[in-house]
Amino acid sequence: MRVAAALIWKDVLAELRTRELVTSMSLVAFLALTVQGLAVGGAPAPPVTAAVLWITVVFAATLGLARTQALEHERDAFAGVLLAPVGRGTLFLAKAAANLLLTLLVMAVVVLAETVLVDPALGRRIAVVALPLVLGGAGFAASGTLLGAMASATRLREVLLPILLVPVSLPAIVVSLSGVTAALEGASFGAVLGPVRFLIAFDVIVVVLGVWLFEYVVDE
Amino acid sequence: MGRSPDGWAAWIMGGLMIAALYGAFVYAPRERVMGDVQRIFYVHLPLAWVGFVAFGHSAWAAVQYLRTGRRGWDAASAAAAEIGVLFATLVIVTGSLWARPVWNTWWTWDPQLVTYLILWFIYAGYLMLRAAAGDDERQRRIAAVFAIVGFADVPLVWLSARYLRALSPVIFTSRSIGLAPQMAWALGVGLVAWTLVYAVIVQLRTRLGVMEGDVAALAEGRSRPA
Repeated sequence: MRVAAALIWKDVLAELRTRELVTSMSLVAFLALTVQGLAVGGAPAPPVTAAVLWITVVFAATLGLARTQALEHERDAFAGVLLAPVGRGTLFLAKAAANLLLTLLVMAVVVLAETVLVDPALGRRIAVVALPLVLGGAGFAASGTLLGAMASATRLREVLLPILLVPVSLPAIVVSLSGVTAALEGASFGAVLGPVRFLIAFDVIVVVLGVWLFEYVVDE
Repeated sequence: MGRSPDGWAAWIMGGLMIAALYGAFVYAPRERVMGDVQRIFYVHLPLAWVGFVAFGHSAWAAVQYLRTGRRGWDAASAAAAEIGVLFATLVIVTGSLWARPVWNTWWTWDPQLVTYLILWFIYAGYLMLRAAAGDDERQRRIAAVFAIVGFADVPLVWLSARYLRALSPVIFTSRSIGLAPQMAWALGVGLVAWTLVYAVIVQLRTRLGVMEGDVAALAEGRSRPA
């Protein structure tokens, strides 16, 4: 448990020192929102707001996940991580947790920027929006952790990550879109329970798959 | 592994395909609502069935490969995916050809179509993984992991796509097709025929894959210093 916490803290510390990931992901998110805001115009319908939200998150978070993978490979740093006295399953959980923090950070930036640039309703309804959004992000981050490790071991490296990640995380994205749209249309917590239950199940399945399969991906 | 079982299988397959074509175009009656364009269904449905079966085959072989490490399983997994993607592509094409005259659109976002599209993307991802992987043991394992993840994902996509109905105002009721007995027969023969086509081709491709691996191993052996 302490080793896992140390592994998560390592990633957080590395990011705190340089802040390069958060800065670049935030800028990318802003730019994507600018283009979409220009295209959408004022007062978009709830499905459009939800779509803009998730498109931007997928864009920026995929870049971030790819970058964290690349960082592990710089100077073969990952070999050091593999020496840690933990099972590969715990290693996966630690990496997934760090990636989740990163994804949540991106989501916060996107929600803030989108409320200002595109649709104020997003900020007003954020309490109900947050639950399907965060759970969808968790599924995205967890699958991104497993698939990122897989993609970076190939010749194409991180270029392959979006090709693998979007189809696999699509259930989470679709259901999260549904929940966020419902929340924006004025639904209460009770009404989004359906999507929330599905997202929790998806997250559990992905985490179980990751814990089981991570060793086949990382071990030489 | 002699030649005669293949020969028999190929002849039976050929005969069944002719029977299936006869069933689809001659034996089955003309559908009341859609007319003759409905006959594409006798090809479209068996192709969709094989597309799923092929992916299940690939995932199963991937599990066995991770469990045993034997190259034959890996070759089977790759072969199943290679042929499966062909079937999946044809499913999407025949589906669009069918949809256009009947629904006046090439595509809709209903659960079956979305699931099949994602299945196609997962096939494509798996093949890209294998292409970028080369002959490395670890990278073959990675491809196997993706086959398993993808296989778990497809039913989840199916379930999630039902949430799309809440998003899209265009409602398509499920394509329930009441089948007359002759139609059911034509469909049944088609299912068996196409499954046999898949079985014959995937077996050939698997054997080819194993031979490719043997050749690569031999080439390595020769280049190693004595």
